[in-house]
Amino acid sequence: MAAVGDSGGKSVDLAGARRYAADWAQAVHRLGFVPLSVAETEELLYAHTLRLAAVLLDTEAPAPAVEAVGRSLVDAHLTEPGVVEWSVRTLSDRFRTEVLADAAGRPGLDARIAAMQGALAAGFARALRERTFRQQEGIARAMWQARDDAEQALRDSEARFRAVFDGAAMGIGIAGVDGTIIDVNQAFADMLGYSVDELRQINVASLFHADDAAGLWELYQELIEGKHDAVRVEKRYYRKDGSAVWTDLAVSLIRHDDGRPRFTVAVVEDITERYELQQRLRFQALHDPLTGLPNRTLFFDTLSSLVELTDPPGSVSASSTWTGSRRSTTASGTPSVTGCS
Amino acid sequence: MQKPDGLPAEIDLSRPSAARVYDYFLGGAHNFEIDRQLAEQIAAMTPNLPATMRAGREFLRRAMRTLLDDGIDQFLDIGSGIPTVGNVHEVAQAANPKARVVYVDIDPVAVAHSRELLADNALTGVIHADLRDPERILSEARALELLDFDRPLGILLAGVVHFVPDVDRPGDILATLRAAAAPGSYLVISHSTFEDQPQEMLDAQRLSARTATEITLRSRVEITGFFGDWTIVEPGVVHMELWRPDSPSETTADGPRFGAFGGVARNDQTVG
Ligand SMILES: C[S@@+](CC[C@H](N)C(=O)[O-])C[C@H]1O[C@@H](n2cnc3c(N)ncnc32)[C@H](O)[C@@H]1O
Repeated sequence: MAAVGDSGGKSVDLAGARRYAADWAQAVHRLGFVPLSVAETEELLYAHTLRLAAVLLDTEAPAPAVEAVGRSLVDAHLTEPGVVEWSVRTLSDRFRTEVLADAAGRPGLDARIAAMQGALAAGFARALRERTFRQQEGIARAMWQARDDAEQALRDSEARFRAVFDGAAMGIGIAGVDGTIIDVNQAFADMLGYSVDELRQINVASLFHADDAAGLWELYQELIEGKHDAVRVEKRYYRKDGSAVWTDLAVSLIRHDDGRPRFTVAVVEDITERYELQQRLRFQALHDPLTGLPNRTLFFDTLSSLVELTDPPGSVSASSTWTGSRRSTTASGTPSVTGCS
Repeated sequence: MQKPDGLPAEIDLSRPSAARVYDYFLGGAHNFEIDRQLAEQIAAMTPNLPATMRAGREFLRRAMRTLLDDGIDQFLDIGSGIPTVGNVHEVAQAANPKARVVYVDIDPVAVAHSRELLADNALTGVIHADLRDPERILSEARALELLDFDRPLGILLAGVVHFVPDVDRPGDILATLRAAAAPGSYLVISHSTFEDQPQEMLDAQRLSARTATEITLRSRVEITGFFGDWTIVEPGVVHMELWRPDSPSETTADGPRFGAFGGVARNDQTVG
């Protein structure tokens, strides 16, 4: 640059070079995206204008210096094809008259300008090609990286899920929307006396206790129709040996990205013991321990429910779910203590 | 499949990505055939759209200047895209080598690319998150310990809020972000609009629905609302190219060509 300034003092029209650089900057801004302001672009192109002028007035081979200018256009992200077109064309039609002062008439300039045009285009093309390769490689690498990351995240979450699934004390079962069991954990299988593989062959419906089946299917349907996202009930299942197991059952729905139902996930706890204990306690509270006959509490409970007072004081919270089906079967429809009959 | 953070767990390469289409319009080669096809389709329908995208990036640069001139030295750039040219950290660190920038994008490829590019830049960080989950963005940004939320910062939302449909309550999202920023902070938004736009422009913008998300065009009033009670600086929420142009020649004589508004606001509240 300093050298250009020296020689430019005599043979380069600095004001002309300014005007040329300003036009150049306007042109590149019109042509494509430029990350610099117009003033910054003009500053950069002014330096290039002086550089090109120095080469033109020099006697050395123009190639390396002019190729570098072409390259630096690409480095500055002035990569629109129109940029190289403008830069090459104006080198022969305006550059000499506008930028060169008293040197404009020097002999041999035409040939030199032609060589410079070639070098400018070559430098630009080479740099653009390299940049394209670099960016394509970069984005492809980023894509693989993103894919690896996503797979890793999936594996991690799968591993976390597996640990919870396998290690849970509660039974966990996953079924399709049609009820086909997709997977269950060991606790679930143990609770029902099947092997995991056996359960993977069957439909959840065949596990429902006959008395609860209709209500459960209804709940499943409501879940799948989106009426609830999750339900929690106390229901009975059949064990493989035909006996019943009381469970506290929480079912939730997993949807596809577009909202369609995909799986149901059931988390099941065996509450048979608790349930039976409740029944025993309840029976004891309402019956004479010696004779097993209903006691006064039961008498007044029944009486009070008949006169439609409140729920019996001895009613356990759990009863609200399991007595539900029974209530509806009582002819009167009034809450009753039939749960312990 | 969704990851626990709600981000898609699979990389779907059969779909164009907004970030890569945008890169193509900026003259980058960080894109694939599928992205270029969509970009060309958009460009064929309206020659204005590529120019709009460039204008968006230029608006961002000029807005950055304003923030930098007011001493802002930390930036949260949400929907930052693929680092192509004129990136926020380049602009910021050219003005202040100590400037800190945290980039956030939903596009996993853009995020991976940003991470690779910025691996050696200790003052920058990259977060893979969804603008629709601003709490998560804020907590991850805090965890990076790059930004000091007790000091003024610049929140940049350039060309991204229109990816958030009304059902996702963009107003609430913006309120959450604003609430996290100290007095003296700035908010920069550029946002596509249907106002003053010819029909073909609107059709083309709808085409962008082919990328992962659809665009919601909004009115100037709606966009202004995103700044809440912050003080909108001159010249207000205007067509992007009219926002503090570098030189008169940069604006077009034939009125607003570009289908997006830009605006900058400052948090002038006093603490407490
Ligand atoms: C048009 S580009 C804007 C890039 C840059 N901010 C600019 O103005 O030059 C939009 C970017 O927003 C991202 N994006 C879209 N929806 C988003 C969301 N919900 N959360 C975060 N980023 C999102 C896209 O991946 C894309 O990189």
